[in-house]
Amino acid sequence: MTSNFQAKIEGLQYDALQIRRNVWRALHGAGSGHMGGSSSAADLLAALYFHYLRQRPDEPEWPGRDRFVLSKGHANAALGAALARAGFIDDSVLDQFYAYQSSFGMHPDIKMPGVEMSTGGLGHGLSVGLGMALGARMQNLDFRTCVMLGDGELQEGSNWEGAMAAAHLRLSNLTAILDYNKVQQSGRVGEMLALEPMADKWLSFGWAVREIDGHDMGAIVEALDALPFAPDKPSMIIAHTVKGKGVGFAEDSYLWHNNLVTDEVYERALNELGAPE
Amino acid sequence: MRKTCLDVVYELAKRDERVVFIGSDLGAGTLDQFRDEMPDRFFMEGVSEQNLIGMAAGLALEGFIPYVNTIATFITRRCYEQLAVDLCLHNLPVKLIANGGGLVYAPLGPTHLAIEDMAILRALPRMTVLAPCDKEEMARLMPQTLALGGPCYIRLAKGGDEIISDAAHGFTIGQAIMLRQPGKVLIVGTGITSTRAMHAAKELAEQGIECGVLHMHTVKPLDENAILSCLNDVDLLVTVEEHTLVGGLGSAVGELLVDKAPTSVGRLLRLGIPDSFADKYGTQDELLEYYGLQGPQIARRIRDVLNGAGEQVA
Repeated sequence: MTSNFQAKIEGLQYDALQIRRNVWRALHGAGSGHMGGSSSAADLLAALYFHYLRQRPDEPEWPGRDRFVLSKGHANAALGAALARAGFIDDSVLDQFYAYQSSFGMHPDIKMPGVEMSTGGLGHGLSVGLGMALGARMQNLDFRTCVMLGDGELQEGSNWEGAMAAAHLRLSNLTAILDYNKVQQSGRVGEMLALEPMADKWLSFGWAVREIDGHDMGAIVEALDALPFAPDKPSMIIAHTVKGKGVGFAEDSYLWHNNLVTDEVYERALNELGAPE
Repeated sequence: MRKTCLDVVYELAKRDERVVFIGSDLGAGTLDQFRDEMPDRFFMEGVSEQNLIGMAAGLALEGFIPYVNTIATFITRRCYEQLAVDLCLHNLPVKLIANGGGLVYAPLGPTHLAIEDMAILRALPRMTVLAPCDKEEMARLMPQTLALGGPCYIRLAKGGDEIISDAAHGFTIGQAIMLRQPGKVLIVGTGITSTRAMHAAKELAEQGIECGVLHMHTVKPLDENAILSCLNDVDLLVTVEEHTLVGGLGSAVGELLVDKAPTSVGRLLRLGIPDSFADKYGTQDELLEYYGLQGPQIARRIRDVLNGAGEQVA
């Protein structure tokens, strides 16, 4: 590993830490929110926003930008933290999480700069993303489209319609990233409605698949840099993650899918993460 | 009517590169010319309506104007959340072309009868709901959909429908057409019930009861002024729809009266399909008759009300 690469990874790890800290900050300011799925996605979002996606924060509608759709919209606290860090929105917006006049809601809202699609109901992002990817191909534009999915989300059948269609249309400019934290609101995904074998499902639907540790920044970067995984197939990155990653009491627990963040809870979280810088 | 509609989509696509056609397993022969001449903008996808609407939304976000065509029940009920979130919330110019509105698919049974489509689409903010009465009106309507900024729903009739529209009336989305001047009675119809209303009005006129017909081809946004401006002159306002009485044209007019002309509510007679699934097959015309929606039946029901013998009006 070169020292340059190592420095890059360390920088992205720091970006991810800032996203996690700001997730807890936003939730504490509002009083509650989805810390579990926001924290599991933090490393992936850091790599996307600070390494992979070609975007211009001062020109959010730049036609050549890569499209990113957060289909698991309940992780919007993490997306907001990434967008603030990237410069799409002011840092102070993070203190207005689902406030009355804020555009920073509990789910992504296209009124906020940098948000490509309003999501919240599960199972919408993949099909809209494949439409964007198709639109790019039809116009000979080279922007890339990435859609982040949740595992519980994949219980919605619409995802599998989208999975079929993207492969059928051979959309190699489309990437899905699965934040596979294996816990949903009421329990473990495998006990609620099992999804395994995950990789085999996507392979059989015609996707090129790679599995990584979604908290190993080097592996995330290498996977993103290897896109597309096949010249004529959509790519799927199955990122194995830990729900609530970074704060011990919230890790791998459905109780912290969505919960209150009191002053006391916030203090305990900051003791582990440190305060946002 | 469907052929006319799709022919216009083809013409629009020829002159506007943003136009895309997306069909859902529509069978052989559908828009072959479109496919041959503009294959990059023609998609005949499988039976996956949720994905079709999402894909259309994604294309619209990238500047395209997708026309999506499949059976009315499936393009509404099957993907309702996609219509709400992907299309309406984002205010995207995706046009929904719905085959077999109302009772057209009588032989196929209640799974295929679109009798609540206008109610559920009308409930979505930003959705325009259209039901032209014949193919000539369809030809005037379709070019206007191109400039419509948001989503719209176009309800198709059976095909071969009697021509009652008239080019002299012009056509503007959102502006009702007075097909026949009101007398003491005014019937408001939409789609092919405007045709049945014309039959009823003619029969009533022969019996000395002057009756007008207002064709509400746009059910949403409702042309409120067209109705309110007539209220002073008519004794009885009648709505006729090939649709459940829950939430369709009759409901829209009833809501209008309650909100803006409450003293007129007692003069409203709503004719449509009762709150039930069809328990008969046959033809569209047979089901219209079963529900009392053919011209002579409309005329009789109006006469009965005027005579104080029929259905209670308020």
